[in-house]
Amino acid sequence: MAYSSLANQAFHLFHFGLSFVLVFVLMPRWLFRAAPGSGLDDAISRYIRMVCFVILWGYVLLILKLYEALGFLGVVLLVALFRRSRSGPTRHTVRATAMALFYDTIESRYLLTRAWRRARLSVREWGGRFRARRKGWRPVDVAFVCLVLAVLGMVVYVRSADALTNPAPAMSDGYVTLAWMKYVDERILFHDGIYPQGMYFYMSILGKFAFIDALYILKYVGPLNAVFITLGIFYTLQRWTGRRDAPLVGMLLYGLFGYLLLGGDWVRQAATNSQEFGFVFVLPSLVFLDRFLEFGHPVDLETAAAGVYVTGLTHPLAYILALIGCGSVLVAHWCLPGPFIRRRTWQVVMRGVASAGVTVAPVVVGYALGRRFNSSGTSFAGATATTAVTTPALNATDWLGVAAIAVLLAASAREVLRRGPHRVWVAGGIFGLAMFLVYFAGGPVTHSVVLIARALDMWAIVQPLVVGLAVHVLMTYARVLGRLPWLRLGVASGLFAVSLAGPGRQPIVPYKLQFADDVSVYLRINEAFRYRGYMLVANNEEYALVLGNGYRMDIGQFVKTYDPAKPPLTKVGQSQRDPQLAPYVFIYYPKRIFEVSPTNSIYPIEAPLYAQRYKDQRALRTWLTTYARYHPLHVYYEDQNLIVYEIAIPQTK
Amino acid sequence: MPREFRLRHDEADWAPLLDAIHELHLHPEDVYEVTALLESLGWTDARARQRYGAEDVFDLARRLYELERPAIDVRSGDYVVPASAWRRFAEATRQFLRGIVFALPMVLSIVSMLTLHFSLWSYQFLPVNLATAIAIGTILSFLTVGGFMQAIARRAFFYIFQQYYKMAQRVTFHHIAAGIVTSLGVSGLLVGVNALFPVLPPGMLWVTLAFYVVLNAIWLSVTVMYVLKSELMFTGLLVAGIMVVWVAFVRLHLNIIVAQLAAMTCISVVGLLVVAYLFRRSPNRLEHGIQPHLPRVGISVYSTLPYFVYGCLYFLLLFVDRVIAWSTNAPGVAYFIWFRGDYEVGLDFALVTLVLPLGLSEVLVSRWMNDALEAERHYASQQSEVMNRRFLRAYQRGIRWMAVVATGSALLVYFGVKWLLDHYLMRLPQSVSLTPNSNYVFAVGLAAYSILSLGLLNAVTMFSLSRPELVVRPLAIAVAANMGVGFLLSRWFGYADAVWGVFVGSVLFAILTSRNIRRVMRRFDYHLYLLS
Repeated sequence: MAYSSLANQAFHLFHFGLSFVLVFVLMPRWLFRAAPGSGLDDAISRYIRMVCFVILWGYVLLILKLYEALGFLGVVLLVALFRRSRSGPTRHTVRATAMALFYDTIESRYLLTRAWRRARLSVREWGGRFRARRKGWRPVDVAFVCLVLAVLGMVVYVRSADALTNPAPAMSDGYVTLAWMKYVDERILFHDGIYPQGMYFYMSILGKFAFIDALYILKYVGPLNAVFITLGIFYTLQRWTGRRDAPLVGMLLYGLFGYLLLGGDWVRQAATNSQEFGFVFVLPSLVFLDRFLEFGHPVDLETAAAGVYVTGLTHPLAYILALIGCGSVLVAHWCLPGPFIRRRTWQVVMRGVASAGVTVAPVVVGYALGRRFNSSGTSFAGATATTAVTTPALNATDWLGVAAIAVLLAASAREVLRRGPHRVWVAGGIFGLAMFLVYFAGGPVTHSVVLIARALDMWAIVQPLVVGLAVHVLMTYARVLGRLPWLRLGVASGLFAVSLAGPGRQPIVPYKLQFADDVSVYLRINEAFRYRGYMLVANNEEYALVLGNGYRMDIGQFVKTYDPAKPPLTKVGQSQRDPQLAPYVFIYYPKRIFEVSPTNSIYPIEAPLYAQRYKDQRALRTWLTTYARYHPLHVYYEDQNLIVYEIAIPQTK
Repeated sequence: MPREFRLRHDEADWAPLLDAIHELHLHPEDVYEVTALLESLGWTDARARQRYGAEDVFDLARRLYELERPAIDVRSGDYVVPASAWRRFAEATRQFLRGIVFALPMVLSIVSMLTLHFSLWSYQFLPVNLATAIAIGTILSFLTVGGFMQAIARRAFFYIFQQYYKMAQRVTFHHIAAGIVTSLGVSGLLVGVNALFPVLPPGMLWVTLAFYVVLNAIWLSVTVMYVLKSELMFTGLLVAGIMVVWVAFVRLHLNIIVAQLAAMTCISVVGLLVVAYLFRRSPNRLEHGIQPHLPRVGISVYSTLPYFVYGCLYFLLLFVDRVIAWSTNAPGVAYFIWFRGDYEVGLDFALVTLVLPLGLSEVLVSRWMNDALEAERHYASQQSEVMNRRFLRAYQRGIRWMAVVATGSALLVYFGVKWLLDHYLMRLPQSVSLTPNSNYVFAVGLAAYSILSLGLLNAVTMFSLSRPELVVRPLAIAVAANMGVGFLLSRWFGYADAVWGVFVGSVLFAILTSRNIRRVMRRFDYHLYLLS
């Protein structure tokens, strides 16, 4: 099946979705207490806590060399049983109930029939409640919902189109992500140095229950992260404002006008990077923190803490963003304090300290295992600009954000003086101001290359939040707008229409490092030969793809190692076949060498590789010509860019 | 006061009627039961008056009851003439052979593998993916029908001991039908689960299910053959099956999987037909005109559930370590579970060690139960402590003998297999060999199964006393320990170390059941009372 065919994508999406539901929807129901609030609040809370659970237990199990599906399921079972034993019916009651149900089922099935009738009644009641609620809906409400769904649909389309049509990993990071996910699968911690592994545990667990090639996990998780960030903005604004205009504006701004916010980093929305994965948890954590400080429910604190832990275990920038956000919310609550604020603050601070410990713990473990920090991550984190750093030029959306912050700060001052209810304006104002300063002045002040390069990504998360909150401020003070829903709908629809007219409607296509067909061939080979054993003779990009499934040898190394004139495959200078080889060897002969665009920022890094590949191509052509003189050469696959030759190695019993 | 009537006939005339009553019921409880038996034999008031001069059937029953009562009085202190040493030896030998005959199919399979390189459901040179599929199917079949096998044995023996063969047949086929329905249901469930979570590719899954379903039918029919004391029948069927595979695979050059499935299908069908035939030809003289309903499903299930659970757990104890070993991740492992031939070879050889101990187990348990029945007549109630101590000593002697035999058997198997491989099988082309991993698993497996035989002796004894709960709980703990230890060690060291799981499980099972049986023996009189 072709990678982009409907059947293929439907199959893999189905299994990916099933794995997601099993791990992040069903398992949390067995493990965690319900969160207060609506079903959506509970679902998001459980999701955040489950991700934290997966990452923390992933580290523990991996260190204990027990990290695998069975080990993880064992932990889930033990924790669920432990939780059940502490609350709820006693073991005797559960057993008695189970036995009663069993005997009833085999004799009369009365309980089953009753359960069926109850289920039907519940469905009817739910239908009745839905119909009753729907009666209260006005046409404008329905229209708003349709608009939200349409915007969400475009958000998903724009980010996932490339993943569903092109199998090649996005950007150079894609190969690293894939390889690190597979190292975690192989129970190897910090293979390339100490680096937060949160997202790789997340992907690995999904892969364990999806039973699909890891490449599909890589392709799907990236767009999923980006969609979740957008939904997180929507959710945060909806919970903080209680309205739908502000969330819709926020979602539009990030979801379809994000290219204005992110600039060149817009392509990261369709790639799979740990930074974006970490960003998913920042804003929802603030919602739960705010609720805890207001109402004091322990599950809200648990959720907020879990979200911050996840950011710390995933990416330092996401962690910093989360800490600043949490600090902003905390300050807002002290500006407009509610009851028990001291005690709740103390609990929050304790969790904050714990988050630092949780973030640092893997580093300690890594050092104990003899690892050192990942060299490229360290050099990037520690790099400072040698030339003068100017403040970034502010574009229209930056000024929009600044204006929104100004509105929020003004409104906040009024709220604090009047002891008003809108604490979120204060939080938003402080958060926005802090992040704008980091973005605007962080680079020039610190000369940090990280801040220069990535502060924009952090600012881009906060901009929609502050703009949405500013819209809420306007709606609150300009009450007449509240009586003009169709006007508001019209404005939102207009914004949506404008987004469709611009680059925002185009699917995001990150750069690739190889042809799509190269990867398609790998998928075909892996499906057919995985259990028999195979080796690819191909460029370095295939390493991450093949890792954990088969073997790979570099073309240049292969040509130097094996003598084409001797029986396949015999090393140069030897007379017997190499006994270590896999039974099937596939040689990738590139007709065309893939090159990224010369305008791409990574071209200077890749250029020497391309030169080497041209040399390898010529050497391989000579090798194959000689080989074909002595042995039949079977073509496994051919297209305009690539020929793949298959050599079956006779195996001695 | 019953009216006496003059005997119009000699007592010898009553003998045929008494025999007819005893054929129906050996120990009628009272006059009314004798009356009912007479009426079931077609006796009416008129016939009783005409034939024996009785007033009515009740009168006739009263007379018969008075005539037969002296024969059924039980006096304590009856002296039963002990059997001669030769008779005891012959009986013990018969029981021993009966105990080991179940292992014949296993031994034949191993011999077939070593010489022909295939048996009924295995082939030495299968690709690993197919070997994995067949292994999964085989283990699943044991886990599914293991419980049914125990339940069939329990219910069938219950009726057979009372010579109600028709009832035994009905309940047996009822359980077989339930077993087949369950296996089809499990197959459907596996297909559904694999569709959602594709653990196995479709090709492997269908091979797994084919072997699974056919093996289920075979195990169910084998159980009934054992219950009807036709154990050698299955051995014969197995030999025939292997011959069918040989013809199909070696002569006709069919695919080995096809050949084996065809042979197993034939065996399962023939096995079920044989079972039906065996029931048909068994005596059913006590059930003329009687077609009672089977007990309510709930009651049957309730009474056999502990044995059912035991059956499932027993096979889980035997096989879960293999699943854990095969699911150990390693380079080159394509799927979630991947067959490791060297691990399997080691354990298959180790299983042979169970042959002798289980034969001894049959002898010991038979002797203890026979002695118990005699002791019930011989000991007065004031001597219950004496009796209990006697049986505790007998048990302790028996367990020591079992330990000696199990150890001897393990050593014999270990050195015997080594000798066989080094001096004989190595000369055969493409023979099986013991890799270092196989040897390691073989040695630890021998120790584990030897210890397991002690636990099995305890288990069979407690089943004979109808105390299955004292076996099931230790077995559950043993299985949990097996899984835990096997999982941890296989992940920390290597897949071959999963065998320590079965070792630890066996040790726990032996210890816990020994503790339970000592408690039982200390109150043996009470348990005999419960049994009666």
